[in-house]
Amino acid sequence: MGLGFNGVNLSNNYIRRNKLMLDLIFETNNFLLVTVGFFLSVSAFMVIFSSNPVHAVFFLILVVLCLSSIFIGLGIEFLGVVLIVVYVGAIAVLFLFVVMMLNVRVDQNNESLFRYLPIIGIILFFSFTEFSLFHDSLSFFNLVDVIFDHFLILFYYYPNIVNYPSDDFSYYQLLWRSYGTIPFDFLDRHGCMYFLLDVRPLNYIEFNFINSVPFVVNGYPIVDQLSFLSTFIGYDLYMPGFLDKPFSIHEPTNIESFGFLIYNSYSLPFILVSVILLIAMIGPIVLTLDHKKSVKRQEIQSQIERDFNRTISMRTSKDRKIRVKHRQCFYNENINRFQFCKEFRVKRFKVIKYF
Amino acid sequence: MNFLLFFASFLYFIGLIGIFINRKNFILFLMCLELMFLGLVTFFVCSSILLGDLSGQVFSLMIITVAAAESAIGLSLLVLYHQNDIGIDLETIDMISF
Repeated sequence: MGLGFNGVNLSNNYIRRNKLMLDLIFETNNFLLVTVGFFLSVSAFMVIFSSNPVHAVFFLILVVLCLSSIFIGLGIEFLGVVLIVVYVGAIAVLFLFVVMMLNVRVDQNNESLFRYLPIIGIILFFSFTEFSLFHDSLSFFNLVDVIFDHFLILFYYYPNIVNYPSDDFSYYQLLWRSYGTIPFDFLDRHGCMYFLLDVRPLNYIEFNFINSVPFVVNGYPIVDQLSFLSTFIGYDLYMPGFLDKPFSIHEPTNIESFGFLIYNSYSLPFILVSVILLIAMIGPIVLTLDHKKSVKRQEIQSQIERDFNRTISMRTSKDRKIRVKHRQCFYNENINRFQFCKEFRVKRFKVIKYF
Repeated sequence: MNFLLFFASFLYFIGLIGIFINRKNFILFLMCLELMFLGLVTFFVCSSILLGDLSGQVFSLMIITVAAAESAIGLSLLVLYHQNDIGIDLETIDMISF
């Protein structure tokens, strides 16, 4: 397999027409990925089939957690963390807040599932035809066969793996043998596969030969010597076991190169995204602002226009007989504090109430 | 990586099916939209890994932003419908003309 380290040449080699669909799916041969994916699919089902919206929100959180764990395992750490922060921290909390605030009653309607069954069937048909466009052979029996194979190897050979973890005869190699192909590129010197990894993700910015514009920081290209060499060779020199990193190499992490891209080549879209967030802020405020009289709110204009001399005036307690206007304030010397008074009429008698 | 592609399309179509199933509840409709957005994000991440181009991840970040904005505005609309005694059933919302 001629796997380029950057995955650049990978796209042509990767989709092989002769393989089964599930062979391609299980090509990672990774039990963790399969397990997390299983939980992801089950919780995605539960999101749409749970009648209680609170449960649906919790299952949505579970979906996001599974997906972000897959992302982090693949080496896309930044997006995984962003998924958790945005979906769990913002969106799911927003959903929970609205569900709790509105106190929506739970409706059980099971007949709608059968009512819309043909539409669901059409959607599923199109989704599987979409898959069969990419993968020629698609059959249910192959699916069962591959899954059975997977679990047989897992349960039959798992004790051996525990006893001899770094042996040649490892679990992953067994799986590969069962499928007939062993991707040597993913083996390190212990015979183990990368954790949750079948393609090494591009965590560093590539030296672009086509445009011949290297990214330069402080006069030095951001691509180091080793990756520069490996673009010629077409083999990942960073792969453990191939080279043991004899000298220190600056290998940018995912978030480093991500920030480099965002602040350089994608700076304008990044600013436009902030406009979207501004709209997301203004829109709910405009929509949910209540203009009813009963709601107490600030009236900024009338507050600014208020005259200090008209609203508050100094008076002594002797001035009580003087007719006071509506809602005025005077200084009571007996109690040494300001006092409010209000004038109103009760059956032709003028009453001044102090409070 | 095809495994992840499978999950991407799975999430997308689960969201699409959920929209057809949950015709009554507006909240579940929004949640299905979130599932579809998650599927799109996964598609973009897959393409970024397969093509060896990091810009797919940048665009998936933008999709996440759009999803957050969409859910905020949708939920504010939901609160508006609930305040005006319209209810959150999609069928009754559909009959209303402003």
